[in-house]
Amino acid sequence: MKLLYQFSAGDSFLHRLDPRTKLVFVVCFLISTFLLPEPWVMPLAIITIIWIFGRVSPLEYLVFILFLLPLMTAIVLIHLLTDGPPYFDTPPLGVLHLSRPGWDAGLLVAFRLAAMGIAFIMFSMTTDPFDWGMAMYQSGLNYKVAFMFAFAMRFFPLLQEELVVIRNALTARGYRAIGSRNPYVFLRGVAISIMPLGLGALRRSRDIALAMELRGFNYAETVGTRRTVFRDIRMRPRDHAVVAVSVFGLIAAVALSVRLGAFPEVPRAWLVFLAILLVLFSVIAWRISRTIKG
Amino acid sequence: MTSTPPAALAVVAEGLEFEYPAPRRILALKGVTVRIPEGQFAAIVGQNGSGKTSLARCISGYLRPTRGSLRVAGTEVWRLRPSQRATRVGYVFQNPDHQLFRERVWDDVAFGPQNLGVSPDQIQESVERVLRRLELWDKRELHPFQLSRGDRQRLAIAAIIVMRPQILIVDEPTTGQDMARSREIMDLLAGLNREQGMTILTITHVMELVAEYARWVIVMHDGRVLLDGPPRQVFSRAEELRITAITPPPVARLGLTLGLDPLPITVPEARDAILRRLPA
Amino acid sequence: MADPVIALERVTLRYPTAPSPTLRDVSFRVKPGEFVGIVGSTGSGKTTLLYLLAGVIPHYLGAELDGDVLIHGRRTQELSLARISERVGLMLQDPEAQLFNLLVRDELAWGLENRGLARAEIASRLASTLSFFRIERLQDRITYDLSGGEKQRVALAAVHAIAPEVYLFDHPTSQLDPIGAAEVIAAVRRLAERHQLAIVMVEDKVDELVEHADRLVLLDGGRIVLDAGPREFCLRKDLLDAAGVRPTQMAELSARLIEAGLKLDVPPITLEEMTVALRARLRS
Repeated sequence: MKLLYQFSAGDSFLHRLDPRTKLVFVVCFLISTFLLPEPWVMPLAIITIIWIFGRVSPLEYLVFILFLLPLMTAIVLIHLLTDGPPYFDTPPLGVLHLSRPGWDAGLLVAFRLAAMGIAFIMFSMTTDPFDWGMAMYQSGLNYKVAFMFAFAMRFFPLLQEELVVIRNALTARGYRAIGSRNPYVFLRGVAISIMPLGLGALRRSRDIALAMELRGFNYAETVGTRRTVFRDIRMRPRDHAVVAVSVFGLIAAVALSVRLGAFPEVPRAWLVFLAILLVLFSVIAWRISRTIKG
Repeated sequence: MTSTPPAALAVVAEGLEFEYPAPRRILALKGVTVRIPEGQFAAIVGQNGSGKTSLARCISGYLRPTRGSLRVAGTEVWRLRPSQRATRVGYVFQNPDHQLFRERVWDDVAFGPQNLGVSPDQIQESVERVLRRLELWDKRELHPFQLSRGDRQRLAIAAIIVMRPQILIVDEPTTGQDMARSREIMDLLAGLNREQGMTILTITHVMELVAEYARWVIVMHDGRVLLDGPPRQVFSRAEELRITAITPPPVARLGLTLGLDPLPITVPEARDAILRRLPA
Repeated sequence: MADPVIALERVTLRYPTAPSPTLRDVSFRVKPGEFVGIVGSTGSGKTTLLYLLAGVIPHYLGAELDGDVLIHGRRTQELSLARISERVGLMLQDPEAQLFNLLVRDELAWGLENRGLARAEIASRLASTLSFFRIERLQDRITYDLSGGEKQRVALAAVHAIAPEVYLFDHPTSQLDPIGAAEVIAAVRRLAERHQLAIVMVEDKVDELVEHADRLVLLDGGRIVLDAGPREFCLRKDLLDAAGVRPTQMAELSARLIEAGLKLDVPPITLEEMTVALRARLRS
């Protein structure tokens, strides 16, 4: 059962890229999204990229897009109603005025959000979480951390399926959680469902931990040998190419943004501060990963 | 099958179809026609994908038929609110862990009636009665997590029967349990059937238990009812059963090979049938 | 007479939180090539026995242990779980709890990766395991999409890739439908055909064990009360009743027929035997 956000085992160009490459691409894409002024360009771009290079049609993640729509609408409405003049010439809605710049700003934020979201699911749809984990391991992340992260993603669909059964079981007790429009009832239903979900997970986790132990999860640490990474994860020429394209694309976006005068007006001091923060963060992250490297 | 006045039927399905919505679009039920009288103890059998679970889900009202008609306890049960449904059809799921909602056994059993708006006094009485019947009264203060698998299974059943459904559907009550425990559960269901006239529908793949407890068997195959009838009759249709994964119990297979008539489906019946056939 | 590959010698075990011992003075030996079935009601100590053989107790779970658990003569207490699990493979009953990688081929390689085997070696074992269990077509499948029977077979294959000499099974088919159960039994049969392996299987389905096991062991209240070949096992009604275990339907039928005065020199315990025995009678 293929559920949303889950890895769809396919064999497209995107599927075959190293996860680190895709990570770089997504980061560059995200930053570019915030720099370009036309709202619809980036969502369209990412949908097209996923379609052509990932062979995943938007219909397959339509549910996700539909989930985004209310959010996007809310954002547009908020800006529309709360931003300043000049206003649209509409019949007066009482004290409410529809702001023109608000409309533009709202659309921009909404579509940027959509672009970001779709970029993220591009990553999760075309990346085997274990490839991701092992790529991180090869780049220095502790094995167990990398594995448990991928492991959590692998078990997510199972939990989703169980939640469906649990919700049905809740209905069997006369509790109307699913179709309820009452937010209290709905939320209480969610809270009540946590217990059986947690119980099942807990019970299973004991067996899983044992099974993992028996197949050598702690072997390397106990015996003192090194693990092999069987899967073939390395940066190939096409990965370097995509990284290059992404970085150039980002630079181009920055340049274009400055040219169009759309570059966010951040005081120079802030920019410098942000840059220092970024560098510090990277160094700390690198140091941490080195210390817990397994 | 003899025709029965509609009022005495727990389940009536005619040309029942169910298709899972997009994106799956699987036609799980392709025209099911079946009549289950009130007070029946029926087993629904078939391999995975035969539609047995979809049929059970339709009968319990979770799934709305896409075509055909289905009346359960006289109503189109999917139209009812959960609180109305629970007194007509109860559903016990396969894994008890998915059905434990409260931190104390007592509270978990009381949860259903509370949702139905039953008065606290009435709840006290019902919960005690059911817990005692299922031999869980002494464990009423425990956290469900502390119970053995068998006890959790009983708790799941308790939490449903406390709402006094007319029809009880039990999904694979024997999975992950030894035969002794499985028989205890079946004895319990037989008791409810006998004493309260509760219609019991159980999905199972253990044919020995079907032979011992069920009075009616519905064999599902590829979204349709392949056979239905008393166990003896169903097990004797060996040729037709071959396309399903259903294997009659060993004594029935023995009976078929040796041509014993009536076909024995339990050990005592087999012994008697064989002794009768032997030269004096 | 070959030496036992694994053995329990006069083992008494009590869990820290239990009021009384789970296993009492249990002695149990398995020789290479033997298929031993273990039967007993819930709580009789079957899983504990498997855990001891697998080294889970004492290395993963703690318990008070008297007596010895030996693998090729060496006490499991002296070996690490890492080393024991190279020789002894354990299959649990929940198919959902034994697969944690995304793709089947990754699952099969995982145990070997952990042990630091060379990639060429992993590739070769992967190929041979896939072909041995005839699951080549499953190798690119996502593990959580498999049927119950497929999951158990993949879990078995993952253990097999490590190439243990002893396979322990804890109710391998209890969560499966008949088709899945048949698939797993067929896979175990293939394993059993490899004569140098030892198989110990805890099951409630006595019918299955009777067909494949060399001997059956009955546990009652933590003691081994019966250790015999399938026929002798099935006909000890007294012990089986006391232990809360039913033999095969055919064995039950044999007992009832004998009670009713029918002479059955070799009481049938399987359907084939019963058919043959009775056909002759009913004709004559």
